Amino acid sequence: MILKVKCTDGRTIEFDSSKSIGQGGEKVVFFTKDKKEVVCFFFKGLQDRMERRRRLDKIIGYFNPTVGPSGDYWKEHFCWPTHLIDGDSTIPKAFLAQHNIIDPPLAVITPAYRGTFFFKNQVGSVVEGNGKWFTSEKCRKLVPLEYQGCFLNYLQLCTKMARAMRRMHYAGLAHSDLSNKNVLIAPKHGDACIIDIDSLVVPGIAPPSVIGTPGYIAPEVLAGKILADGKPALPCVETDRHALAVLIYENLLTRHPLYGPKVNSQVSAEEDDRLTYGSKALFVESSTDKSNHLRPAPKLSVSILGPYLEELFRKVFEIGLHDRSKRPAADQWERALYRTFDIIHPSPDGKNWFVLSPGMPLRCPFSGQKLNKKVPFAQLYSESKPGNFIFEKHHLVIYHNMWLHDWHIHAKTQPGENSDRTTKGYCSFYNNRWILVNNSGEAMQIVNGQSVPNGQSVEIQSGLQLLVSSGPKRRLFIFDFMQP
Amino acid sequence: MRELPVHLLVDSSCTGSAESFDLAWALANALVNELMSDPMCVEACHLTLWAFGDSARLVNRGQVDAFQIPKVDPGGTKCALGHALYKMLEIDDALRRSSLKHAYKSHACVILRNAPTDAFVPHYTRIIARTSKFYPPHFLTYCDSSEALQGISPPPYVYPALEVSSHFLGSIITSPFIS
Repeated sequence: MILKVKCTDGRTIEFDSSKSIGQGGEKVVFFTKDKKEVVCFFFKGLQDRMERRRRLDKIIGYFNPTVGPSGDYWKEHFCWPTHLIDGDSTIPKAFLAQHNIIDPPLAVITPAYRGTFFFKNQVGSVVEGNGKWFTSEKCRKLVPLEYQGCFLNYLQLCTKMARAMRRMHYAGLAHSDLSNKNVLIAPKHGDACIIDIDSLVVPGIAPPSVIGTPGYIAPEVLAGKILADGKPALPCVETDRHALAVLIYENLLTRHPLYGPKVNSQVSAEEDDRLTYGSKALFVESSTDKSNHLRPAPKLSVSILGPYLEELFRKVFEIGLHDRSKRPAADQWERALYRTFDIIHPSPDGKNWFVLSPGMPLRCPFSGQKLNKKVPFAQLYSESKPGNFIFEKHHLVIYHNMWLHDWHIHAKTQPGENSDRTTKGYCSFYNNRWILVNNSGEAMQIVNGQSVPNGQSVEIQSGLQLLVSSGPKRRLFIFDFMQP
Repeated sequence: MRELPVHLLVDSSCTGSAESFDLAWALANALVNELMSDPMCVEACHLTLWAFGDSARLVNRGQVDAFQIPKVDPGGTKCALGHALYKMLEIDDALRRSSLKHAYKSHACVILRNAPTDAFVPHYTRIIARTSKFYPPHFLTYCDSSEALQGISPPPYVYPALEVSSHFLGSIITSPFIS
């Protein structure tokens, strides 16, 4: 039966009341008639109705990133509430009673999940792309191969998660329940979307209403730590940072960063969990305490993720685990992931990608296969003052048919949501030579040599110094090769 | 991840209708499928499947991701629920001893078609007493088999098998992950 309801902003919505499509701890969910949105009614017993209403008003209005600049981009990566129903008396009482819905009704309307985030499982049923399917080796194996994605896809979806959390945190909001069940992922498309937005912690309006999901709750929250201001630790931006790091680690390495063999309590599993993820939390790859190291050692250690991600993981799970102020922010993860994209290389078997940087073995850690040809790379330099270039402590690893973008040829440029994504050139292995082809629209310049006009190529040789752009953010590439 | 033992006990005796036998195993299949559709269960559940008639027989045990339910024929004229609970506790103890880390509290789900014919209450009481290791068992009952469960203290969770959905049972089993 189709019911018509009126939103607080005057919009009328029709939804199919005959069958709920799901329910959680707080709400029961129905499709709208066109199935483009869902209506989520709060159950009876909601303790803080007024506070919820104020919170939802702020989330839908003032703090809503999907209606501001880059709104269309954020609509893809947040399932952000769009409308609110509060007290519509035309909704039949029998319907409210049947589904145990609060009366007068309170509901939030959100977009339906995009089709990208569903996959067909091995028995042909359509399954929601809940992150839980992909964050453990055992579950991932049950996902049909075509949906599993490769390492590159996981880097992409982690970037989208980090970018979305950076946006949320910049607004001063905290998700408060970031976990693998509240992030939809589609590895096949390298895509991610944050869901369950209606429990956000809104500064000055809404304190956290949940403490989070086991495994993602920050140690100080689980341990009930009292902070320096005398208040108990509760979900906030810093606890989101812990959850984000856990999610990125799980997606890239398919294991939990804190769940190791160390037994912290003999009393019960629940008590052991409380300590393992709380006051006694210890990184399974800690460089100073081996008591929680996995045995046997995992085939894929954190070092295979390259220097940028390893540094952040050590920072968040060693220094910041029990000191929330030291946890890397979402934008630091975003930057580290961007930098890691610059040092990935196709696997010799052509099925995957792996991180390869000078000093790392020329072997794919996933397949175990070695690269048997030398690999070109560029050391990146930016201009600190006119004519003075400094090494950015960063490399660009080159592979056949690699595209160059704006963020490669200009310093201090990142591939964010607003970036210019047109190609500025490419590198190719052509006639047994490595070449760089300039498509940037302006000439590149060999230091103490010829210019490379737009549309022309230059052979990549060890020691070649190439100014790949001009202007204040110009960048210098110095090429070299990694030898097998 | 830490293990979550789940024990599924199916009354497979010859007594009772053939229809209820088929329904009982269809429900067992549906429950296993439900667990397979939840990634947390796939990750954590260790499932043991029992058939009981005159005595209890372990049909299969293992992780949910590769769990198969073989064809089980009706057998026995009794309904030895007590023996099934006793054997289940034995396996549960062995499972717990085999792992360095504590397992989560075990779940037991009994699909009952007949009134139990042996002394099952002491074993039920043992389960209830192990509050740190077991959740109270769930009984799915056919016909009037639930009458035999009346008067037990504390009362077990009893649901009419024809009215309960496997989804509901699946959600009970995933409770350690959402609590």
